[in-house]
Amino acid sequence: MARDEVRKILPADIKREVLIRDESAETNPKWGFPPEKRPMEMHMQFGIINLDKPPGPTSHEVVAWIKRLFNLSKAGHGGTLDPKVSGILPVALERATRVVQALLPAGKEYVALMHLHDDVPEEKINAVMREFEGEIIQRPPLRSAVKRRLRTRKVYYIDVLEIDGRDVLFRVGVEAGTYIRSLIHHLGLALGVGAHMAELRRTRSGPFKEDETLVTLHDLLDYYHFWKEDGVEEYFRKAIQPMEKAVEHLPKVWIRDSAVAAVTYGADLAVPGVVKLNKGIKPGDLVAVMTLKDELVALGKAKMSSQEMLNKGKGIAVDVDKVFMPREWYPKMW
Amino acid sequence: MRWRIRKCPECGRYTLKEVCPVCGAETKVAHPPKFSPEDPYGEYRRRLKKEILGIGVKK
Ligand SMILES: [Zn+2]
Repeated sequence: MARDEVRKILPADIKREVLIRDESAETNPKWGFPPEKRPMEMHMQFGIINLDKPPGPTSHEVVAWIKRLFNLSKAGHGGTLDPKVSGILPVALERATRVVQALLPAGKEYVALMHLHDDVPEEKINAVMREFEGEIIQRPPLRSAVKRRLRTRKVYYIDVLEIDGRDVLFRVGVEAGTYIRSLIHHLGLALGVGAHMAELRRTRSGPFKEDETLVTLHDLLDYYHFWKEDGVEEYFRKAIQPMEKAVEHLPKVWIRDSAVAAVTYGADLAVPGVVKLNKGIKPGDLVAVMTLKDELVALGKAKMSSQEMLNKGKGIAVDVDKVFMPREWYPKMW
Repeated sequence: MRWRIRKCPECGRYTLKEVCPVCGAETKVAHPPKFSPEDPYGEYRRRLKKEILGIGVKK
């Protein structure tokens, strides 16, 4: 059991070192809105819900309900869950809607119930399931929007939790885009008896986990009422996470105050604007551009490696793709 | 549909058993309850919840 505990690691869990480019840079406390300083309405405009999706509706229906119940014009979810599946469905709101693009490539974890079509000794089940850790080959399902060619996906870990006759309960950590139904079908073939997925629940999507931030639709709606009708905002505030939560797992580049406005006006990030950054960034990587107050400014593609950003005097460090911070938060300084 | 995946509210362990194999607490169905956007019992549920949370209680 202890061995299984330490193996439950997704790439999002690996700590990144911070490299400092300018020791002396400071941020003006008058500018910006760090998450804890956002008024409730603004907190919602730049918020993301760690929602516990109930079985039944499609992910799309759940987003439509949330928009209607909370009078929102925009919302989007990070990674579809099929109707019968429950669990973690991050839903980004209003001006944070597109932050879900940071979650689509993130690792996922599920708890699944596999039903075997005949009896198999427990030792064999355990042995075969262990063999599925690592690279597996999958073809997207028939009704998938993804082009149906064979592709490989990583299974980071499989932990068998319980075996009850032909029912096998297990936890599995996978690369984005891995189909658990198909994984179980192949496990059934490898075990020689066939198998199908009886039940599925997502327990993790990148930085979103089953913790005190996970909220059901019932709680969410009640907390919204407490805010709107009873003037008690603390519960709804806690039910919504700042958009910064959705980039926790991404490599980051922190920039000086004088560079923030330029980026919000669509400028790419030049090296002199960089104050500090995570180690290990490669050109082409999705990175989060942050203020020195740890506010999310934008998402972009790295144009240089971390070493180059650290050592070069000029050049474009990040090709800015999607800006989240409003232009008024930091003054124009160019 | 009768759900089989259960979870221990005390230690978070997933199980098929009614009693948690780790800490002995009573387990619950892991999936959240069905939700209807019409939410017919919302007012009733909120009245109970407000009492528990101490919202709008006259001192
Ligand atoms: Zn327990």
